[in-house]
Amino acid sequence: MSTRKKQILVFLAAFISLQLLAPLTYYLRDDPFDERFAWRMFSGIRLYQCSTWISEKKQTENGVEDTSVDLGPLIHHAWMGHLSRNRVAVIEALLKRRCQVEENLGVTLENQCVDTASRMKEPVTYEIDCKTGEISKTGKGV
Amino acid sequence: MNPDRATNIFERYFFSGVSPARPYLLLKGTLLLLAFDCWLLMSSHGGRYNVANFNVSHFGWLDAIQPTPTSALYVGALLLCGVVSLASFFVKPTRWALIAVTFLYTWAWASSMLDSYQHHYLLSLVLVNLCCFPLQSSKDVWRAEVQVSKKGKDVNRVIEAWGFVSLGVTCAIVYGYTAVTKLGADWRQGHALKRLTASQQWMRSLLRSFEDAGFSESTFWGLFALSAICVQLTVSLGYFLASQQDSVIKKPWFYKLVLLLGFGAAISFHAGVEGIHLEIGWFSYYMFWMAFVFFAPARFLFYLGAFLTSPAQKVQSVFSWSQRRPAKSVAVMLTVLVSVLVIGLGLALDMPGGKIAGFGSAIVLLFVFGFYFFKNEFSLIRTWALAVGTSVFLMWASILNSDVRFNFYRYTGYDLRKRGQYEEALNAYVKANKYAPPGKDRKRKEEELRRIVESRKN
Repeated sequence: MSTRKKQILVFLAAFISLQLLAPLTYYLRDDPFDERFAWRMFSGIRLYQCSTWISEKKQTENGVEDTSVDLGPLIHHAWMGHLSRNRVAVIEALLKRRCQVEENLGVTLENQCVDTASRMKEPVTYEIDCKTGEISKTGKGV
Repeated sequence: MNPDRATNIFERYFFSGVSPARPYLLLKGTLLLLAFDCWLLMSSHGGRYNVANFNVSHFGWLDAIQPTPTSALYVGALLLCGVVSLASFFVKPTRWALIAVTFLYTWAWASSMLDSYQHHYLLSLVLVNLCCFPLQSSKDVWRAEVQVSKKGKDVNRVIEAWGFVSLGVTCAIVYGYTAVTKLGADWRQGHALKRLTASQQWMRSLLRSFEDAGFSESTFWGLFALSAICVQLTVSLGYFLASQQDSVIKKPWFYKLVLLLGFGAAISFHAGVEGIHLEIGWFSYYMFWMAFVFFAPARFLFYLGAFLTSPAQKVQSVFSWSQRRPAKSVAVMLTVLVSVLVIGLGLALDMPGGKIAGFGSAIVLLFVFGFYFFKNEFSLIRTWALAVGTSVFLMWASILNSDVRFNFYRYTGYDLRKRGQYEEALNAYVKANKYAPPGKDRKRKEEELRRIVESRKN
């Protein structure tokens, strides 16, 4: 076999392995909502209908207060879909962004989803402590 | 298995003979669709980029190295991607042009999760495979074939096209995964399918006829869900085998049956997807073309390709100057003139990204000029200048005669209004109304915003 053919076959082996392995990583991750690159077209999870709430713990003159946040004026509405679909990278970026507001001590985002059979799923809550920047997650959502 | 034997199987599979008409037609069809897809569908959503300076890309490392994608950058990349794509459709494509198309298209979606459409990821994989296709002009494919056939030999000449075979494998993998991932209870019990399709009239009629035949609703959805899995597995197997059909001299009946079923399944699946009106743009059309080119008999594709390319070949023979080598001065003049034209057309688009597309196209021309000038390949400079000039003109003309700018500005205005930026929203709606198709304008929104802006000033 010529060297050229050998090089092509090595490239193809790597390219095809990548295509086979990349979707498999979905099943190894602890994040059922991030279905990108897994070729899970029309999956049940993609069709969940979710509601999102976001609240901020603020330091005020009267002490610490919880206030709900209207995200409409803060980000493009297209991001709302990613937040409600539990896209962790987007949620983390938003939580960190909200911590840049001086009086914020912590931010909480909660997603409550209903599956395709209209069953209510366990809510998922993401919380950031603005002092430490630590993000915690509770609930699985599926 | 003996490693040598495995390598031999691998080698025989990927370097099997393929009719040259297949990669030629697939490449050209995909480039043509991609150009107008980028210009007319994707770019109208550019207004959502860099709103409130918030962005998350598909890959963490990309966030670390890229500037936050703005509307201008996103739309500019897409417009330029379309220009290079269409220019490559007009001429014998070059590897660097195909790589540029792949890079621009892939960056456009990868730069932000705002574009999370799975079919865009798949198109990037398709483009990577296209970069590995044999680079052929219509003359390379059809003149050679005609000469061979005149000598009384078979028209079914085959060439080595490992990129084409690899694309078949990509499709087999993707369809295979989409089938396997549907094995979950959610899909098998038909819940997901029901939610996707229950609102469609044709689906309700189908369900009624099933119920009339004595089946329960849950049986209907379960059977329908199972049939979708079988269809996708059939398409997957079909793609895996289809790329080998030109090198198999005597095809056994079951091989022919798999190809026939694969083709039928691919077309019916995507026709069904079109029927439920998903937000997937022109994706089904890419897949219709792909299925057609992969599964159709080589002889049929040969005659179809000869017919489709004959106008271009006739134009070339009428304009005999296209055969002559132009003078150095003609190549220089043409590059300068077309560069000025494309910059002007880019600026005339009145859309963020138009400037980038115009100047980007001029840079492509300069790059082509620099590359071929020192090789004394002046005819290629002329060919590319004409191809890029025509592509930019078609971009400008198609956007001018479509709803792209109307949609771009009304989407932008809608978001700005929602975020309380009334003055900017008003400006966006004014522009949307300037480009609104008859009967679709947003004059009431514009007037309402004008009142809000004035009352806020007072």
